Amino acid sequence: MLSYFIKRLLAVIPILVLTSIIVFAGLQLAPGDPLTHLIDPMEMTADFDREALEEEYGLNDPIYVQYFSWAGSLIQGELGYSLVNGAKISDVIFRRLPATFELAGAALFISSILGILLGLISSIKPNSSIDYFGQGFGVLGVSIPDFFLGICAIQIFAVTLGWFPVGGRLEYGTEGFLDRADHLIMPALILGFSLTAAVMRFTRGSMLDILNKDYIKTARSKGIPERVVYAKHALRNALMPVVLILMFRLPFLVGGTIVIERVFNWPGMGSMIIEAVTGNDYPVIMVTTLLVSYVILLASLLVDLITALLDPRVRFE
Amino acid sequence: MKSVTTRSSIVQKQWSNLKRNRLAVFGLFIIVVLGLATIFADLLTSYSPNGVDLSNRVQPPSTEHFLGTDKLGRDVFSRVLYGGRLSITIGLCGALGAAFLGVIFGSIGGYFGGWVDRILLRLSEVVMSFPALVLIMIFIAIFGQDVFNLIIVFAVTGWIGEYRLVRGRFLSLKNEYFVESCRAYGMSNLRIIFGQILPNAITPVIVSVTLATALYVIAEAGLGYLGLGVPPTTPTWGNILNSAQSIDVVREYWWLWLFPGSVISLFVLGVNTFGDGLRDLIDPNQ
Repeated sequence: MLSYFIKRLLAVIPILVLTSIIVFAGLQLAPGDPLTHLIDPMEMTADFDREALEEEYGLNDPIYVQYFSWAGSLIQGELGYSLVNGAKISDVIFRRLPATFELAGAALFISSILGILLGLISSIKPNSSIDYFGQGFGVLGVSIPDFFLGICAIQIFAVTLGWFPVGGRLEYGTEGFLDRADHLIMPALILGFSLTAAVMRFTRGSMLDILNKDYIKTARSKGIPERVVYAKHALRNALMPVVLILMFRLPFLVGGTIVIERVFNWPGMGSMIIEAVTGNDYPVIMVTTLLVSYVILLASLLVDLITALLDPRVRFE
Repeated sequence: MKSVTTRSSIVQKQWSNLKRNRLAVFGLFIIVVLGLATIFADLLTSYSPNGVDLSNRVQPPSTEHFLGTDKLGRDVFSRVLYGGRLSITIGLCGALGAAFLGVIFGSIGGYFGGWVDRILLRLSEVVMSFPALVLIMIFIAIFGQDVFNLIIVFAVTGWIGEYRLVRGRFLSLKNEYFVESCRAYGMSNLRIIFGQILPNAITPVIVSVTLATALYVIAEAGLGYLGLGVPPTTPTWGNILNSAQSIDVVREYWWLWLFPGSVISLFVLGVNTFGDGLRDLIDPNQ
């Protein structure tokens, strides 16, 4: 197990490095003076010595030296400064991150539970009306753009029925859990909808696959109740690929978060990225992208390890 | 001559199989109807998609303006038709471009193996670890908003699926006897790859292109909604929905987002059901 872990870790490192090189190249390609995002704007007083500063920050060094010093400061948490408002990028990210984790986490939670449940139900009686309903739900989930669904939900549940607030995360001055949940439910459900559909389709396919296996027939012929066959024998093995699909969906979840945060005025990283793109705030865009891709890479490493723990065959591939 | 007749009979058989899948036929029907409607937009509406008419701003649907007018008095029906033409083109070209890259990389990597394959594999892992939407936004931030840029971005960020498919097929096919006999005849690597192996590996790519088209039509709509897609003056399905960012539009002028959004959903639904049917046809195991 340990050797597998080390092997996977070593395979991830070149990707981490390559990703950072691409982002660094993007920063170099982006128009603008690199000095503006490297130093605190308060230091740029009228009489600052540009050439001395350029020398100090190594802007005259060869490009690979610049890359190493940039990567070094990145590791120490020095992410640079925004071009638009001069704020420290790390501060902005830490302020925005909890909101995004709250939304994405809730969506992931809802969609895993709902998707697995629906997939399980429709796999019990394939080609029944329940199954067709589930499959229709699945196709709709991947076909309707999530922002359009969000707009419809706002119109129906917030404007017409008035059940939920139109957007935002918290009313000014309120702090209770109920206030939070009130704001969270709609965006999390909409964001989770397409993910639910994907998980559902995958669980169904994987369950049908497993239910045709010989050991299920053996279990049935032993007289094990059907309920136990499903819950204990089939589901455990069918869930493995579902864990994998959750990992592959992670980048989609990030993309969905960006759009849904805009629809519901959610003050998270997604809104930050959009503001950065519309404001041509290249350092913010690049650094955020790098961090997001690192999170996705680490998550995929974690999923690999979990799969290896659950399924010994993976380790000896 | 003989091979031609067998091939056409295979097509006939597949077509009759496809016809039995009612959902897939339904999908094809939607694609054809909406596709034809956008191609012959000039015949279906007399309004120009960019014809500003300030005396008729935000009119609800009427006999004169089938789906109402927007904030500048432009006819929404006409904009949906002309916008669809561009949105579908962008989606299809993006999917084809991505498939082209994926097929080239996959066949070269799978056939030659070794360090070429390893580099391509790492590259694919890097691209996969970036969330596509963020990558697209970066491209647009650096290279500007443009139809052609958008297609290029879709191609560059979307080739992983096809790459994996084709590479896998090449890995299993390159040791088959027919490939070895080609080599024994002294056929060049290029001819073996593209003339002999690729035709045996290309069918799943067709399904993949179909489903990717659906994905890119949605992506274009999302980008347009955020105001980051094609320049906002050009009508596309995404740009029509751009105005729905403001809550006033959502609340007061429902025809500005309900109709375009429904048409996008309907088209993507059609492409997805058709793609699923195609996949069942090509790969009955799934």
